[in-house]
Amino acid sequence: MSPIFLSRVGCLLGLIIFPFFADQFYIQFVSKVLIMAILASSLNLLVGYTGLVSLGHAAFYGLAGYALAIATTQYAITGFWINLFVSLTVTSILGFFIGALVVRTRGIYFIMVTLAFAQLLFFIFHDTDIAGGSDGVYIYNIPQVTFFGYNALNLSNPTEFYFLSLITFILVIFSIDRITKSLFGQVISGIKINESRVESLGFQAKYYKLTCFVISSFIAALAGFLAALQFGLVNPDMLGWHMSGGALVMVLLGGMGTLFGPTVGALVMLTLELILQSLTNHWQIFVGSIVILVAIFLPNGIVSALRLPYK
Amino acid sequence: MTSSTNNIVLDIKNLSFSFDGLKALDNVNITCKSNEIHALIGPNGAGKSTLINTITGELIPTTGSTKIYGRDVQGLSKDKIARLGIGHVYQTTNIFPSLTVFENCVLAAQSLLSNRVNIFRGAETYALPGQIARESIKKVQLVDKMFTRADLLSHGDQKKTEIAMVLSSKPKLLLLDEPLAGMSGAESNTILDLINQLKESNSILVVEHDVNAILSIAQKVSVMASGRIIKFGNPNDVRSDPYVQRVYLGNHGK
Ligand SMILES: Nc1ncnc2c1ncn2[C@@H]1O[C@H](COP(=O)(O)OP(=O)(O)OP(=O)(O)O)[C@@H](O)[C@H]1O
Ligand SMILES: [Mg+2]
Repeated sequence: MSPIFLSRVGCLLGLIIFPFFADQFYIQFVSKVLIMAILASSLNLLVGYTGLVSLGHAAFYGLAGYALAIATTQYAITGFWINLFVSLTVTSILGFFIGALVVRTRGIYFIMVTLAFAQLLFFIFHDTDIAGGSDGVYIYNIPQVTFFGYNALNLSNPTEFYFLSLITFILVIFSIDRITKSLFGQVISGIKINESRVESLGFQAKYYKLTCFVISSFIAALAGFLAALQFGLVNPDMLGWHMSGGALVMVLLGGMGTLFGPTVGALVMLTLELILQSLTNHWQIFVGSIVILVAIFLPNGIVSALRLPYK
Repeated sequence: MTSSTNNIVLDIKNLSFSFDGLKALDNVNITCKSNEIHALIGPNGAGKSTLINTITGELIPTTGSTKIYGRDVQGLSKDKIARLGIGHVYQTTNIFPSLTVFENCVLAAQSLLSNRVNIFRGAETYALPGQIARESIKKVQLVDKMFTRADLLSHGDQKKTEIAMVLSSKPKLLLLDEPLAGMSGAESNTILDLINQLKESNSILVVEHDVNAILSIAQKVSVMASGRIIKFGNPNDVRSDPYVQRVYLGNHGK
C-alpha cells in the first residue's frame, strides 16, 4: 500500500472519529471547513483543471442557499431531498445559461464576465425584497434528512450535520477524482494547456468548457445548500465577490489543479482566520501577508510542499 | 490511374483573403487528390501559411470557396472542419508542451472516441488511443523519447511530436506547414519517407522551403508568390520554370 493511500485512509479515519472527542465549536468549525473545501474544489475544476479563472463562483453557492431559503419560507416546500433537488436544479440551470455565455470569452474577459454575472445576482438579492434584501432570510424549518421514511439525520444537531458535510465532501472529492481522470478530464486539461490545439484536433472546446462549468456550479450548489443549512441564514454576502475571491484564494493557496489543494487551502484559510481573529482586530493584514508569502515561496500551493498526491 | 473528380479531397476556388488591407491571398485555386502529395512552395510572405489557415478555419476567407470531399466548409468552426478528417501541422510548433510525447498523441487519438463520454470512466480504460499513439510515435521514430515531456525536446523532435500527434487523430487530408524545419539531414529523410508512405492512405498538402527534398516526393507542385499561384504542374515542369530556378534552385544572379 502506498504512503499516499495510507495517509488518505488516516485522514478519513481521523475525520470520522473526530466529532466523538471534540467540542461542539470545533465540530461546527470543521463542518464549515468541509463546506468551503467543497466550494473551493468546485472552483478548482474551472480554475485548476480547465484554466478558466472565475471571479463569480459564489453566485452558485449563494443561489443554492437562496433557493433553499425561498423554498422553505415562501413556498412551504420543506423536506431535505426536495429542497436539495430544488437548490441543485435551479443552480445548475442558471449555471448552464451563464456558462453558455461566458465560455465564449477567454482570459481576462472570462474573469470580468463571471464577476459581472455574480454582481448582478448580488444586487438582485441585495436591492430588491424578493428575499429579505440586504438582511437576508432566516431558515427556521431546517429539514430533517429522511431515508426511506426513517429520520436518518437531525441537522440541528452539530454532530449529525457534520456527518452530512463529511459524506458530501467525500462524494465530491471522489467524483472530481473520477472526472479529472476520465476522457473528459483529459480534454479539459488539454484546454488549459493549449485550447486552440484541442480545437484543431477536432474537440468542441466550448462544449467541454460548458459541461465543466455546469458540473462546477452543481458542486458549488452543494456547498451553498449545506452552508445555508448550517447557519440557518442566507444573505447577499454569500453571493458577493468577497466570497468568490475567498474561494479563489483557497484554491491558489492550497494548490490549483490538485485533488486536495483546495481542501488544504480552505483548512489553512479558515484556521488562520480563527486564530488571528482572536488575537487582533487587524487579522486580515496577517492573512493577506501569509497568502503573499505562500504565493512567492510556494507558487504551486501548499500541497506542492506537502508532496500530497497530484491530480 | 483514375483522373475522375471523385478522388478530389480538397478543392479551393478563387479564394482571397486580406489582413487589414494587405492582400495575402489573391484568387487562389488549388486541388488535392487522394493518394497524392501536393507541394506548395514560394518565398517568405507568399501566403502559404495563410492559405493553410483558411482551409482549417483558423482564418475566414473574404471570397471564394473551399470544399472538402465536396462539402463547402465556409464558416464552419475549426473543430468541425478538423472532424471532417483534417490534420494540421503548424509552421510554429503547436503541441501540449507540458505533456509527454505519448500523452500528446493519446489526447489526439481520444478525439476519435465519441464526444459524449462517460465522465466517470477512467481514460486509461480505453485501449485504442494508447495503441494508435504508439503506432504514430513509431512512425516518426521517437520511441526512445516517448515518455519525455515535449517541452524538453529539441525543435526537430517537437516537430516530430506534432506530426505523430496529428497522425494519431487519423486525418485523411494532411496539411503540413514546413514539416522539415529544424530537422537534421537524417531526421528530414525519416520524415520525407514517412510523408511518402502516408500518401498510400492520405491526401497531403505540404509547404516546404527545402524545395529539392519536397519535389523528390511530390506528384503536384504549386508555386506561390505575393498571394497568387504563379505556377502549377508536376515537379519536372516546375523545376524547369525560370522563376523557380532563379528563386530556389541555386541559379542566383542569372
Ligand atoms: N497575423 C497577421 N497579421 C497581418 N499580416 C500577416 C499576418 N500573418 C501573415 N501576415 C502577412 O501575410 C503575408 C503572407 O504570410 P504567410 O505567413 O502566409 O506567408 P508564408 O508564405 O507562409 O511565409 P513563410 O514562408 O515565411 O512562412 C505576409 O506578407 C505576412 O506578413
Ligand atoms: Mg508560413
